[in-house]
Amino acid sequence: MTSLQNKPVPTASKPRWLTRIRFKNGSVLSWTLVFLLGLFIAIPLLQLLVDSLSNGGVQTWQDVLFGRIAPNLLWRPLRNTLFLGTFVAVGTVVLGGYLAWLVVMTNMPGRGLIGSLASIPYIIPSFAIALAWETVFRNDRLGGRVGLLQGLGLQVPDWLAWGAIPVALTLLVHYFSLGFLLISSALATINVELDEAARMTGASRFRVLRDITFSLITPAIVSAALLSFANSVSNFAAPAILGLPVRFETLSTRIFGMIRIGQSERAYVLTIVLIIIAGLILWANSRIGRRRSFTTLTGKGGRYKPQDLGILRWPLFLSALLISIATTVLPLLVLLGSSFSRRTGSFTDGFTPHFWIGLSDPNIAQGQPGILRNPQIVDAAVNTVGLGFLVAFFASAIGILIGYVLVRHKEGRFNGLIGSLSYVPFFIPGIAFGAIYIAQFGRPIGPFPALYGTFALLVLAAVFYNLPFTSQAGRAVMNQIADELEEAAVMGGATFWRRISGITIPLALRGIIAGAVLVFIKMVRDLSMVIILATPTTSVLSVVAFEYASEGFTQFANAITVIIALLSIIVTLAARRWQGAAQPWSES
Amino acid sequence: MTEKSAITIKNLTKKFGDLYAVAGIDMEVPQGAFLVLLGPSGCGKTTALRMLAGLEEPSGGEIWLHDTLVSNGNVGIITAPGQRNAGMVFQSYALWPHMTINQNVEWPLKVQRWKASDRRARVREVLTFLNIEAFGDRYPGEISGGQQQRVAIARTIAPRPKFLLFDEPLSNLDAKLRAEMRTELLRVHRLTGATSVYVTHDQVEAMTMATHIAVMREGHIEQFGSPKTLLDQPATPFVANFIGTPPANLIRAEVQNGRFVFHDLDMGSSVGHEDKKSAWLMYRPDTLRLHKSAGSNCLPVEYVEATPVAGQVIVTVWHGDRRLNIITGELPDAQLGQELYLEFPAHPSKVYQDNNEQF
Repeated sequence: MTSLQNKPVPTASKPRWLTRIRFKNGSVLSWTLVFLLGLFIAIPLLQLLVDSLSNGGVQTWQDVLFGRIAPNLLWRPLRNTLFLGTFVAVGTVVLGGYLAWLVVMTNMPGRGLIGSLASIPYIIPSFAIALAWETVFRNDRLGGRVGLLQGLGLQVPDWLAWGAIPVALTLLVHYFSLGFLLISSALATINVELDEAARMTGASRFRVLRDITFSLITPAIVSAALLSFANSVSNFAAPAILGLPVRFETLSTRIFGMIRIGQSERAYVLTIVLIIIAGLILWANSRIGRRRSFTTLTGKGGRYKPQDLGILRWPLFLSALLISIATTVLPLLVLLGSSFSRRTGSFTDGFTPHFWIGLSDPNIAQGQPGILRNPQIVDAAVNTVGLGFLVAFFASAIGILIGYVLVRHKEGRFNGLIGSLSYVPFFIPGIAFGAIYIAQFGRPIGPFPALYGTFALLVLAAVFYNLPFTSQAGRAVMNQIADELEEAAVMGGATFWRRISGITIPLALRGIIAGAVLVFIKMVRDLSMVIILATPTTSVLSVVAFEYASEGFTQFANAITVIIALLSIIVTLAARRWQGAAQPWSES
Repeated sequence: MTEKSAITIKNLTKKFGDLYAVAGIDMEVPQGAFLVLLGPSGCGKTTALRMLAGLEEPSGGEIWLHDTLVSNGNVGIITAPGQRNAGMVFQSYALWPHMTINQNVEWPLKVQRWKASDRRARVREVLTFLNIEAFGDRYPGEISGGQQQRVAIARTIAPRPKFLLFDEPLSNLDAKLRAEMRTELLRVHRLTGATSVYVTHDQVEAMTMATHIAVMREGHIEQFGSPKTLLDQPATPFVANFIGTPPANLIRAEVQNGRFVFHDLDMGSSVGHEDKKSAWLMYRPDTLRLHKSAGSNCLPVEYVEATPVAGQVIVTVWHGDRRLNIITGELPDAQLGQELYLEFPAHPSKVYQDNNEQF
């Protein structure tokens, strides 16, 4: 009857992992993921270390870290890189969080408009924003053509035209919408009762915002900061365009430069240094964030009643509108305008559609036809769309599986490994990731042929390159689906695949698609990774645009960039519309 | 294990990290019983239920359903949750928000490969049984909490499970609905003939519904028995203090010269406890008397409140920080905070060893 013994009687046991594996859902999945991540992330990473020692051995490391070249090669670029990462991470959370709060939680007018605008900058390639910046602010320091402002007779100071400030602002403009997207979706899904309960205690609006709302969305804020930090650290185009001319170097421009001049061991050393530093940040973050996993959405929480901003409604709207216009409409207008301008960087010397639809004319742009008449560009466009779709699909599929394993089987033995490995590419600059893949898969492995120059290699690299993002998204999505919803299906006897397809995926679909769309857009506008993997037969639009820009054909580059932006915007809008139609239950 | 036990639990444990959520429980529950796992939050009752369901692996011990070993500490889960012939009603109801009521109820039947015509008939049947047939085409977000509860029950009983598991299913409902749903759940229990296990912290629910109650505390079972046994012979002061409306009163008395003494009052003979310093004395609420003026062997107390219940009145008073309940025939004529005098009977209803615990 009653049992009051204090300690349970120990039961004799055989090795548990042997017997348990069969019954433990998710362990087959865990093994599969460990295998995939090992093959496509861990092993290539080790290869990187091996290759860094391949020519000159330890001496290479000594030179890069402590040699005469070290300050120029490593330390100064490192300082610049960390500055950019920190600036963008903080800026992303502040700016993105501010707009997210306004759009999701207040009665500010024009919330839909701001919401749509705030997601656009991410669509525009960072090199496009950098080019737009250059088009406006370029001064006469380097000689040659000048930007719009200088053209109007204004003297633009160097700090505004070149180096740290323009690069940091360009990157912030590009990445803050990531913070907006993550934070606004977190805000939209927290249970309103948690907030109301806090308000009932008599806490002030600010206090509730700080202690409850803010704390609940901390995971979203942390991942927004993490993602934007990682992205801006590995960004190549903005510092290449606005920094390099005045020798403002970051680690990724240094890595690119080293690979370009054939000193790949030095590039690999720099890459490893970058990965280690970023890894420390990641580790610190996981120490802080370990206990911050919330299952907030129970499937029945109410919706937020918009906060009344009172007299501040319109001023705040104006501030949001200014931010949105400065980061979306303005750069796009500059790009579009300059793609029609007869003379580079000038809106006062007349306009021409030549760079879009003109036939070859030896007097203009060395006889290049307009981009819509150029068969190479049409091929590149087809490649771009194909790449975007394939990568979005595969990266999201693997990402949601990772999220599933990490959230549903919190005690799984490989969780730490899966979580860390899927994060790793965060901190590998796109260029370096591409280079690693060439080193690893460019030669035949066993029965598998060399993949260099193939479309397959591009897709493979891009899928794993995007995994940090999709697995984060997968995790966030899974965290929002209450365990009980799936357990109820378990009780009904549903198998793993049945549960996944019948319950989890339909509930997670909105989140999965949002993530997949972002990946698609990211691939369409990515430059840093594809620039090293794409070859003339597998070229994509962004690479073509960048090549035009660096050769001085600004109008062609900007015209292609406008196409990239349009493509991305159309896809985003279509996906949003479809999501709305796919979830009738959430309309009530 | 006896022949007719539907559920047999042997020395079941569950460890989370270094903590035992369930620290070795044993139980035998006959076919058709309505077992309530009762205890304060954190006592391990939900963990025990989830192990029965197969949603958690035991760290040690065994669970048998009829004559099948479904879980043990070595292998973990031997029979998958879906193969246990058990249905579960979750605290949050866990209705799938992307499916209509019909789809919610039908889905488990699909999983179990019922024929389409049988499915539709069964969905109709259980929805009618629970008086929610009108809501079949709505989504869970479009019906009230009470209706959601009924849908959750309908979904659970649709596949005709042999075991029904309930995880505090009524805790999200208001008092009136809760009383209504208690009756409803008992009806479901009786008509399905299933063996039910019900987790709650509400002793009223336990006393009204259960055929068997396991009172749990800190991972152990304090007492296992029928509601009447628990009420008549509470095995521990914890049970005495937890069960009953109102629960019994406990005071800690000192042992002096063969007598129990509490605040200089003589509480009766301490025979059997002479070697101890103190003991817990239990007094049923109907053995105590309240007076407006001091008398011999009376304890001054502070009046708190009175609740009329079925022709009688439950009076609550404070003595220091201890709450005492008395059942009297009529409402006392007293103000909040007024001093009254409590008269104890010559002997306590029961005496418990003092193990240095507080109640």
